[in-house]
Amino acid sequence: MADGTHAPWVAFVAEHWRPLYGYVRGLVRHEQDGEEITQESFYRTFVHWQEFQDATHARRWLYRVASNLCFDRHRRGDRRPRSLDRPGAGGRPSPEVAEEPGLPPCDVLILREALGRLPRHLRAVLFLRYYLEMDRAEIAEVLDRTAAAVNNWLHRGLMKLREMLGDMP
Amino acid sequence: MKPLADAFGDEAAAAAASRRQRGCPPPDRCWAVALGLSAWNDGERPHLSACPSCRSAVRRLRWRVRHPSWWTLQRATLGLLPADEAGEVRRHLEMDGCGSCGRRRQRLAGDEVVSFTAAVPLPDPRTWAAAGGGLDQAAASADGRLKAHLLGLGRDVILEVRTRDAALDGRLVACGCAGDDEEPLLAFAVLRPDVNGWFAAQVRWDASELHARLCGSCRGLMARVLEPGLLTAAETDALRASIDRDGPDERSMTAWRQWRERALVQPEPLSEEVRVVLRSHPGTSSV
Repeated sequence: MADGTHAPWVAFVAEHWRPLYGYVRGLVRHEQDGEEITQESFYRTFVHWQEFQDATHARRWLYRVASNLCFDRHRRGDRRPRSLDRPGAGGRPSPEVAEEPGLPPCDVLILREALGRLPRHLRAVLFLRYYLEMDRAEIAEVLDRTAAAVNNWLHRGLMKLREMLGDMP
Repeated sequence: MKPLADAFGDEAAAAAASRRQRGCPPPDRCWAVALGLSAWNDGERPHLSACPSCRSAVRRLRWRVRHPSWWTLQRATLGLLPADEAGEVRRHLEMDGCGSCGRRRQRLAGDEVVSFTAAVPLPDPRTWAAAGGGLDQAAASADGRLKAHLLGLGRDVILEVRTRDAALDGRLVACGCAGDDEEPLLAFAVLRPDVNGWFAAQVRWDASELHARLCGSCRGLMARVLEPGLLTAAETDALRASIDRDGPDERSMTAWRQWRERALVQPEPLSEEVRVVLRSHPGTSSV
Protein backbone atom coordinates (compact mmCIF):
# COMPACT_ATOMS: atom_id res chain seq x y z
CA MET A 1 0.00 0.00 0.00
CA ALA A 2 3.06 2.21 -0.15
CA ASP A 3 2.57 4.07 -3.41
CA GLY A 4 3.53 7.44 -1.94
CA THR A 5 0.20 9.21 -2.46
CA HIS A 6 -2.90 9.58 -0.32
CA ALA A 7 -5.40 8.97 -3.12
CA PRO A 8 -5.71 5.18 -2.49
CA TRP A 9 -6.36 5.90 1.16
CA VAL A 10 -9.19 8.30 0.32
CA ALA A 11 -10.68 5.65 -2.00
CA PHE A 12 -10.40 3.12 0.85
CA VAL A 13 -12.34 5.48 3.15
CA ALA A 14 -15.00 6.01 0.47
CA GLU A 15 -15.45 2.26 0.08
CA HIS A 16 -15.42 1.19 3.72
CA TRP A 17 -16.85 4.09 5.70
CA ARG A 18 -20.51 3.18 5.25
CA PRO A 19 -20.32 -0.52 6.18
CA LEU A 20 -17.96 0.20 9.07
CA TYR A 21 -20.24 2.89 10.44
CA GLY A 22 -23.18 0.49 10.13
CA TYR A 23 -21.19 -2.17 12.01
CA VAL A 24 -20.04 0.19 14.76
CA ARG A 25 -23.38 1.90 15.19
CA GLY A 26 -25.03 -1.49 15.50
CA LEU A 27 -22.61 -2.42 18.30
CA VAL A 28 -22.61 0.80 20.32
CA ARG A 29 -26.19 1.80 19.46
CA HIS A 30 -25.41 5.48 19.63
CA GLU A 31 -25.09 7.75 16.62
CA GLN A 32 -22.41 10.13 17.92
CA ASP A 33 -20.35 7.41 19.61
CA GLY A 34 -20.64 5.44 16.39
CA GLU A 35 -19.27 8.32 14.32
CA GLU A 36 -16.41 8.91 16.76
CA ILE A 37 -15.37 5.27 16.87
CA THR A 38 -15.61 4.99 13.09
CA GLN A 39 -13.43 8.08 12.67
CA GLU A 40 -10.91 6.85 15.24
CA SER A 41 -10.74 3.43 13.58
CA PHE A 42 -9.95 5.00 10.23
CA TYR A 43 -7.34 7.24 11.81
CA ARG A 44 -5.56 4.31 13.50
CA THR A 45 -5.64 2.37 10.25
CA PHE A 46 -4.27 5.38 8.36
CA VAL A 47 -1.27 5.49 10.72
CA HIS A 48 -0.30 1.96 9.57
CA TRP A 49 -1.42 2.34 5.96
CA GLN A 50 2.06 1.93 4.50
CA GLU A 51 2.48 -1.42 6.27
CA PHE A 52 -0.51 -3.24 4.76
CA GLN A 53 0.10 -5.69 1.95
CA ASP A 54 -3.28 -5.07 0.30
CA ALA A 55 -6.76 -3.68 0.86
CA THR A 56 -8.00 -6.94 2.41
CA HIS A 57 -5.29 -6.78 5.03
CA ALA A 58 -6.16 -3.12 5.73
CA ARG A 59 -9.88 -3.93 5.99
CA ARG A 60 -9.19 -6.69 8.51
CA TRP A 61 -7.13 -4.28 10.58
CA LEU A 62 -9.81 -1.59 10.34
CA TYR A 63 -12.52 -3.91 11.65
CA ARG A 64 -10.25 -5.25 14.36
CA VAL A 65 -9.56 -1.73 15.63
CA ALA A 66 -13.25 -0.82 15.47
CA SER A 67 -14.30 -4.02 17.28
CA ASN A 68 -11.78 -3.41 20.06
CA LEU A 69 -12.91 0.19 20.48
CA CYS A 70 -16.58 -0.84 20.64
CA PHE A 71 -16.04 -3.67 23.12
CA ASP A 72 -13.63 -1.59 25.24
CA ARG A 73 -16.16 1.20 25.46
CA HIS A 74 -18.83 -1.26 26.46
CA ARG A 75 -16.58 -2.93 29.08
CA ARG A 76 -15.62 0.41 30.61
CA GLY A 77 -19.28 1.34 30.80
CA ASP A 78 -18.35 4.50 28.93
CA ARG A 79 -21.71 4.87 27.33
CA ARG A 80 -24.07 7.70 26.80
CA PRO A 81 -27.80 7.19 27.07
CA ARG A 82 -28.86 5.08 24.16
CA SER A 83 -30.18 7.03 21.23
CA LEU A 84 -30.82 4.10 18.94
CA ASP A 85 -32.61 1.58 21.06
CA ARG A 86 -34.90 0.88 18.18
CA PRO A 87 -32.38 -0.46 15.72
CA GLY A 88 -34.49 0.39 12.71
CA ALA A 89 -34.65 4.10 13.52
CA GLY A 90 -34.10 6.32 10.52
CA GLY A 91 -34.11 3.66 7.85
CA ARG A 92 -36.46 2.18 5.28
CA PRO A 93 -36.74 -1.53 4.80
CA SER A 94 -35.62 -3.01 1.51
CA PRO A 95 -38.55 -3.93 -0.73
CA GLU A 96 -38.06 -7.69 -0.63
CA VAL A 97 -36.07 -10.33 1.17
CA ALA A 98 -35.57 -13.82 -0.17
CA GLU A 99 -36.29 -16.65 2.19
CA GLU A 100 -33.20 -18.60 3.24
CA PRO A 101 -32.99 -21.95 4.92
CA GLY A 102 -32.22 -21.64 8.57
CA LEU A 103 -34.28 -18.55 9.31
CA PRO A 104 -38.05 -18.27 9.28
CA PRO A 105 -39.49 -15.95 6.62
CA CYS A 106 -39.45 -12.33 7.71
CA ASP A 107 -38.96 -8.88 6.30
CA VAL A 108 -35.90 -6.73 6.75
CA LEU A 109 -37.40 -4.50 9.42
CA ILE A 110 -38.27 -7.46 11.65
CA LEU A 111 -34.87 -9.00 11.09
CA ARG A 112 -33.15 -5.72 11.93
CA GLU A 113 -35.14 -5.49 15.13
CA ALA A 114 -34.12 -9.02 16.09
CA LEU A 115 -30.46 -8.28 15.28
CA GLY A 116 -30.65 -5.23 17.51
CA ARG A 117 -31.61 -7.46 20.43
CA LEU A 118 -28.69 -9.83 19.99
CA PRO A 119 -25.69 -9.57 22.33
CA ARG A 120 -22.94 -7.47 20.77
CA HIS A 121 -20.47 -10.25 20.11
CA LEU A 122 -23.07 -12.39 18.32
CA ARG A 123 -24.21 -9.45 16.26
CA ALA A 124 -20.59 -8.67 15.35
CA VAL A 125 -19.85 -12.18 14.19
CA LEU A 126 -22.99 -12.35 12.05
CA PHE A 127 -22.19 -8.99 10.44
CA LEU A 128 -18.65 -10.01 9.59
CA ARG A 129 -19.74 -13.37 8.23
CA TYR A 130 -22.91 -12.57 6.32
CA TYR A 131 -22.50 -8.93 5.33
CA LEU A 132 -18.75 -8.66 4.77
CA GLU A 133 -18.48 -12.33 3.82
CA MET A 134 -15.33 -12.86 5.85
CA ASP A 135 -14.29 -16.47 6.41
CA ARG A 136 -14.00 -17.87 9.91
CA ALA A 137 -10.24 -17.41 10.10
CA GLU A 138 -10.57 -13.73 9.20
CA ILE A 139 -13.33 -13.22 11.74
CA ALA A 140 -11.23 -14.95 14.38
CA GLU A 141 -8.43 -12.49 13.64
CA VAL A 142 -10.71 -9.46 13.68
CA LEU A 143 -12.34 -10.41 16.97
CA ASP A 144 -9.16 -11.88 18.46
CA ARG A 145 -10.82 -15.23 19.15
CA THR A 146 -10.17 -18.81 18.03
CA ALA A 147 -11.89 -20.20 14.94
CA ALA A 148 -13.75 -22.61 17.24
CA ALA A 149 -15.12 -19.70 19.27
CA VAL A 150 -16.21 -18.00 16.08
CA ASN A 151 -18.01 -21.17 14.96
CA ASN A 152 -19.70 -21.37 18.29
CA TRP A 153 -20.81 -17.72 18.18
CA LEU A 154 -22.11 -18.07 14.64
CA HIS A 155 -24.15 -21.08 15.63
CA ARG A 156 -25.50 -19.40 18.76
CA GLY A 157 -26.26 -16.19 16.89
CA LEU A 158 -28.31 -17.97 14.27
CA MET A 159 -30.09 -20.04 16.92
CA LYS A 160 -31.03 -16.96 18.90
CA LEU A 161 -32.27 -15.22 15.79
CA ARG A 162 -34.43 -18.22 14.92
CA GLU A 163 -35.92 -18.19 18.38
CA MET A 164 -36.61 -14.48 18.29
CA LEU A 165 -38.09 -14.53 14.81
CA GLY A 166 -40.27 -17.49 15.81
CA ASP A 167 -41.65 -15.40 18.71
CA MET A 168 -42.33 -12.34 16.60
CA PRO A 169 -45.73 -11.76 15.06
CA MET B 1 -27.43 -15.85 4.03
CA LYS B 2 -29.08 -13.17 1.96
CA PRO B 3 -31.72 -11.95 4.46
CA LEU B 4 -28.98 -11.17 6.97
CA ALA B 5 -26.84 -9.43 4.38
CA ASP B 6 -29.87 -7.36 3.35
CA ALA B 7 -30.72 -6.45 6.93
CA PHE B 8 -27.17 -5.37 7.71
CA GLY B 9 -26.93 -3.55 4.39
CA ASP B 10 -30.16 -1.75 5.16
CA GLU B 11 -28.80 -0.66 8.55
CA ALA B 12 -25.57 0.60 7.04
CA ALA B 13 -27.57 2.55 4.46
CA ALA B 14 -29.79 4.02 7.19
CA ALA B 15 -26.72 5.05 9.20
CA ALA B 16 -25.17 6.78 6.21
CA ALA B 17 -28.51 8.36 5.30
CA SER B 18 -28.77 10.16 8.64
CA ARG B 19 -25.45 11.83 7.90
CA ARG B 20 -26.51 12.68 4.37
CA GLN B 21 -29.78 14.16 5.62
CA ARG B 22 -27.79 16.58 7.78
CA GLY B 23 -25.99 17.66 4.61
CA CYS B 24 -22.58 16.56 5.93
CA PRO B 25 -19.89 16.04 3.28
CA PRO B 26 -18.94 12.39 2.70
CA PRO B 27 -16.15 11.22 5.05
CA ASP B 28 -13.75 10.64 2.15
CA ARG B 29 -14.09 14.35 1.29
CA CYS B 30 -13.19 15.23 4.90
CA TRP B 31 -10.09 13.05 4.61
CA ALA B 32 -9.15 14.52 1.24
CA VAL B 33 -9.33 18.02 2.72
CA ALA B 34 -7.52 17.04 5.91
CA LEU B 35 -4.73 15.49 3.85
CA GLY B 36 -4.47 18.59 1.68
CA LEU B 37 -5.53 16.78 -1.50
CA SER B 38 -8.48 19.06 -1.98
CA ALA B 39 -10.18 22.15 -0.54
CA TRP B 40 -13.79 22.68 0.47
CA ASN B 41 -15.88 23.89 -2.42
CA ASP B 42 -18.42 26.72 -2.34
CA GLY B 43 -21.27 24.25 -1.90
CA GLU B 44 -19.69 22.66 1.19
CA ARG B 45 -18.49 25.74 3.06
CA PRO B 46 -21.88 27.04 4.27
CA HIS B 47 -22.60 23.63 5.80
CA LEU B 48 -19.24 23.53 7.57
CA SER B 49 -19.90 26.96 9.03
CA ALA B 50 -23.25 25.79 10.35
CA CYS B 51 -22.52 22.20 11.47
CA PRO B 52 -20.51 22.00 14.71
CA SER B 53 -20.22 18.24 14.40
CA CYS B 54 -18.52 18.40 11.00
CA ARG B 55 -16.30 21.31 12.02
CA SER B 56 -15.12 19.50 15.08
CA ALA B 57 -14.52 16.22 13.23
CA VAL B 58 -12.51 17.89 10.49
CA ARG B 59 -10.42 19.90 12.95
CA ARG B 60 -9.66 16.83 14.99
CA LEU B 61 -8.66 14.91 11.94
CA ARG B 62 -6.58 17.60 10.31
CA TRP B 63 -3.96 18.02 13.00
CA ARG B 64 -3.62 14.31 13.48
CA VAL B 65 -2.56 13.70 9.90
CA ARG B 66 -0.58 16.85 9.09
CA HIS B 67 1.65 19.31 10.85
CA PRO B 68 -0.29 22.41 11.90
CA SER B 69 0.38 25.56 9.90
CA TRP B 70 2.02 28.61 11.49
CA TRP B 71 -1.49 30.07 11.71
CA THR B 72 -2.78 27.29 13.92
CA LEU B 73 0.28 27.21 16.16
CA GLN B 74 0.19 31.00 16.48
CA ARG B 75 -3.47 30.95 17.44
CA ALA B 76 -2.74 28.17 19.93
CA THR B 77 0.04 30.33 21.42
CA LEU B 78 -2.32 33.29 21.72
CA GLY B 79 -5.09 31.13 23.22
CA LEU B 80 -7.41 31.88 20.31
CA LEU B 81 -8.17 28.35 19.15
CA PRO B 82 -11.53 26.74 19.92
CA ALA B 83 -11.18 24.22 22.76
CA ASP B 84 -11.50 21.10 20.61
CA GLU B 85 -8.92 22.24 18.09
CA ALA B 86 -6.57 23.39 20.86
CA GLY B 87 -6.91 19.90 22.34
CA GLU B 88 -5.94 18.32 19.04
CA VAL B 89 -2.91 20.58 18.65
CA ARG B 90 -1.86 19.67 22.20
CA ARG B 91 -2.28 16.02 21.31
CA HIS B 92 -0.10 16.49 18.21
CA LEU B 93 2.60 18.16 20.32
CA GLU B 94 2.46 16.00 23.42
CA MET B 95 0.96 12.58 22.72
CA ASP B 96 2.25 12.26 19.17
CA GLY B 97 5.44 13.93 20.42
CA CYS B 98 6.06 16.14 17.39
CA GLY B 99 9.31 17.82 18.39
CA SER B 100 9.60 20.01 15.30
CA CYS B 101 6.14 21.55 15.91
CA GLY B 102 7.03 22.01 19.59
CA ARG B 103 10.07 24.04 18.54
CA ARG B 104 8.05 25.96 15.95
CA ARG B 105 5.50 26.85 18.57
CA GLN B 106 8.17 28.14 20.96
CA ARG B 107 9.55 30.37 18.23
CA LEU B 108 6.12 31.77 17.48
CA ALA B 109 5.70 32.88 21.09
CA GLY B 110 6.54 36.56 21.04
CA ASP B 111 5.14 40.00 20.58
CA GLU B 112 5.88 40.51 16.90
CA VAL B 113 2.46 39.41 15.69
CA VAL B 114 -0.36 41.69 14.63
CA SER B 115 -3.68 40.20 15.62
CA PHE B 116 -7.03 41.85 14.97
CA THR B 117 -8.67 40.72 18.18
CA ALA B 118 -12.27 41.59 17.30
CA ALA B 119 -14.14 40.00 14.41
CA VAL B 120 -13.98 42.18 11.30
CA PRO B 121 -17.27 42.33 9.44
CA LEU B 122 -16.73 41.92 5.72
CA PRO B 123 -19.41 43.87 3.91
CA ASP B 124 -20.62 42.43 0.65
CA PRO B 125 -18.44 44.23 -1.93
CA ARG B 126 -21.52 44.79 -4.09
CA THR B 127 -22.87 47.12 -1.39
CA TRP B 128 -19.63 48.81 -0.35
CA ALA B 129 -20.57 52.11 -1.89
CA ALA B 130 -23.88 52.15 0.00
CA ALA B 131 -22.08 51.18 3.21
CA GLY B 132 -19.85 54.24 2.94
CA GLY B 133 -16.68 52.81 1.48
CA GLY B 134 -16.39 49.39 3.09
CA LEU B 135 -13.40 48.21 5.05
CA ASP B 136 -10.88 50.26 6.96
CA GLN B 137 -9.29 48.69 10.05
CA ALA B 138 -5.86 49.03 11.61
CA ALA B 139 -3.90 47.15 14.26
CA ALA B 140 -0.32 46.92 15.55
CA SER B 141 1.88 44.28 17.13
CA ALA B 142 2.40 44.42 20.89
CA ASP B 143 6.06 45.37 20.43
CA GLY B 144 5.06 48.17 18.06
CA ARG B 145 7.34 47.02 15.25
CA LEU B 146 4.61 45.98 12.85
CA LYS B 147 1.49 47.84 11.83
CA ALA B 148 -1.25 46.39 9.69
CA HIS B 149 -4.00 48.08 7.76
CA LEU B 150 -6.95 46.23 6.26
CA LEU B 151 -8.86 48.13 3.63
CA GLY B 152 -11.30 47.57 0.82
CA LEU B 153 -10.22 49.06 -2.43
CA GLY B 154 -12.18 48.56 -5.64
CA ARG B 155 -12.69 44.85 -6.06
CA ASP B 156 -9.93 43.95 -3.61
CA VAL B 157 -9.36 43.60 0.08
CA ILE B 158 -5.80 44.59 0.91
CA LEU B 159 -3.84 43.83 4.05
CA GLU B 160 -0.80 46.06 4.19
CA VAL B 161 1.86 45.31 6.79
CA ARG B 162 4.38 48.10 7.49
CA THR B 163 7.42 48.62 9.64
CA ARG B 164 10.15 51.21 10.11
CA ASP B 165 12.57 48.54 11.31
CA ALA B 166 15.17 48.20 8.55
CA ALA B 167 16.23 44.83 9.98
CA LEU B 168 12.97 43.42 8.65
CA ASP B 169 13.62 44.49 5.07
CA GLY B 170 13.37 41.47 2.76
CA ARG B 171 11.72 39.25 5.38
CA LEU B 172 8.68 37.11 4.74
CA VAL B 173 5.34 38.28 6.12
CA ALA B 174 2.72 35.60 6.74
CA CYS B 175 -0.92 36.67 6.83
CA GLY B 176 -4.03 34.68 7.54
CA CYS B 177 -7.72 35.11 8.11
CA ALA B 178 -10.58 32.73 8.84
CA GLY B 179 -14.34 32.67 9.12
CA ASP B 180 -16.54 30.65 11.43
CA ASP B 181 -15.15 27.34 10.24
CA GLU B 182 -11.58 28.27 11.31
CA GLU B 183 -10.37 27.10 7.90
CA PRO B 184 -7.66 29.71 7.34
CA LEU B 185 -6.94 31.57 4.17
CA LEU B 186 -3.18 32.03 4.19
CA ALA B 187 -1.06 34.38 2.11
CA PHE B 188 2.50 35.63 2.07
CA ALA B 189 4.40 38.68 0.92
CA VAL B 190 7.93 40.05 1.29
CA LEU B 191 8.72 43.34 3.05
CA ARG B 192 10.44 45.83 0.74
CA PRO B 193 11.34 49.54 0.97
CA ASP B 194 8.42 51.94 0.62
CA VAL B 195 8.20 55.73 1.05
CA ASN B 196 9.34 57.85 4.03
CA GLY B 197 11.54 55.19 5.62
CA TRP B 198 8.81 52.56 5.76
CA PHE B 199 9.05 48.96 4.60
CA ALA B 200 5.82 47.42 3.39
CA ALA B 201 4.33 44.14 2.23
CA GLN B 202 0.88 43.78 0.71
CA VAL B 203 -1.47 40.85 0.48
CA ARG B 204 -4.43 41.24 -1.81
CA TRP B 205 -7.60 39.15 -1.90
CA ASP B 206 -10.49 39.34 -4.32
CA ALA B 207 -13.23 40.97 -2.22
CA SER B 208 -16.10 38.85 -3.55
CA GLU B 209 -14.18 35.61 -3.08
CA LEU B 210 -13.13 36.60 0.42
CA HIS B 211 -16.67 37.56 1.36
CA ALA B 212 -18.03 34.24 0.09
CA ARG B 213 -15.18 32.21 1.58
CA LEU B 214 -15.49 33.68 5.08
CA CYS B 215 -19.30 33.90 4.96
CA GLY B 216 -19.23 37.67 5.59
CA SER B 217 -17.18 37.81 8.78
CA CYS B 218 -13.48 37.55 9.43
CA ARG B 219 -13.09 36.13 12.95
CA GLY B 220 -9.34 35.98 12.99
CA LEU B 221 -6.86 38.12 11.12
CA MET B 222 -3.17 37.91 11.85
CA ALA B 223 0.12 38.91 10.30
CA ARG B 224 3.67 38.32 11.39
CA VAL B 225 7.23 38.09 10.12
CA LEU B 226 8.00 34.41 9.60
CA GLU B 227 11.31 32.62 9.26
CA PRO B 228 11.35 30.31 6.21
CA GLY B 229 12.32 27.38 8.44
CA LEU B 230 8.93 27.63 10.14
CA LEU B 231 7.01 26.91 6.93
CA THR B 232 5.60 23.40 6.45
CA ALA B 233 3.86 21.43 3.74
CA ALA B 234 0.57 22.92 5.04
CA GLU B 235 1.65 26.29 3.62
CA THR B 236 3.20 25.40 0.28
CA ASP B 237 0.01 25.93 -1.75
CA ALA B 238 -0.50 29.37 -0.21
CA LEU B 239 3.16 30.22 -0.78
CA ARG B 240 2.95 29.22 -4.43
CA ALA B 241 -0.30 31.16 -4.90
CA SER B 242 1.20 34.26 -3.27
CA ILE B 243 4.19 34.24 -5.62
CA ASP B 244 1.84 33.73 -8.59
CA ARG B 245 -0.34 36.60 -7.42
CA ASP B 246 2.64 38.98 -7.37
CA GLY B 247 3.82 37.80 -10.78
CA PRO B 248 2.82 40.92 -12.73
CA ASP B 249 4.56 43.24 -10.24
CA GLU B 250 8.28 43.32 -11.03
CA ARG B 251 9.27 45.01 -7.74
CA SER B 252 7.47 42.36 -5.72
CA MET B 253 9.04 39.60 -7.77
CA THR B 254 12.49 41.03 -7.18
CA ALA B 255 11.76 40.95 -3.45
CA TRP B 256 10.58 37.33 -3.75
CA ARG B 257 13.74 36.32 -5.60
CA GLN B 258 15.99 37.94 -3.04
CA TRP B 259 14.07 36.29 -0.23
CA ARG B 260 14.37 32.92 -1.98
CA GLU B 261 18.13 33.25 -2.35
CA ARG B 262 18.49 33.92 1.36
CA ALA B 263 16.02 31.17 2.35
CA LEU B 264 17.88 28.52 0.38
CA VAL B 265 21.24 29.24 2.02
CA GLN B 266 20.14 30.00 5.58
CA PRO B 267 21.49 27.60 8.22
CA GLU B 268 18.09 26.44 9.46
CA PRO B 269 16.81 23.50 7.38
CA LEU B 270 13.79 24.09 5.16
CA SER B 271 11.06 21.48 4.91
CA GLU B 272 11.46 19.43 1.75
CA GLU B 273 8.10 20.60 0.36
CA VAL B 274 9.04 24.26 0.79
CA ARG B 275 12.45 23.64 -0.78
CA VAL B 276 10.75 22.12 -3.83
CA VAL B 277 8.51 25.18 -4.24
CA LEU B 278 11.44 27.55 -3.98
CA ARG B 279 13.58 25.59 -6.40
CA SER B 280 10.94 24.92 -9.00
CA HIS B 281 8.63 27.94 -9.00
CA PRO B 282 9.16 29.78 -12.27
CA GLY B 283 8.60 33.16 -10.64
CA THR B 284 11.43 32.81 -8.15
CA SER B 285 13.85 30.45 -9.87
CA SER B 286 14.62 32.67 -12.82
CA VAL B 287 17.25 34.74 -11.05
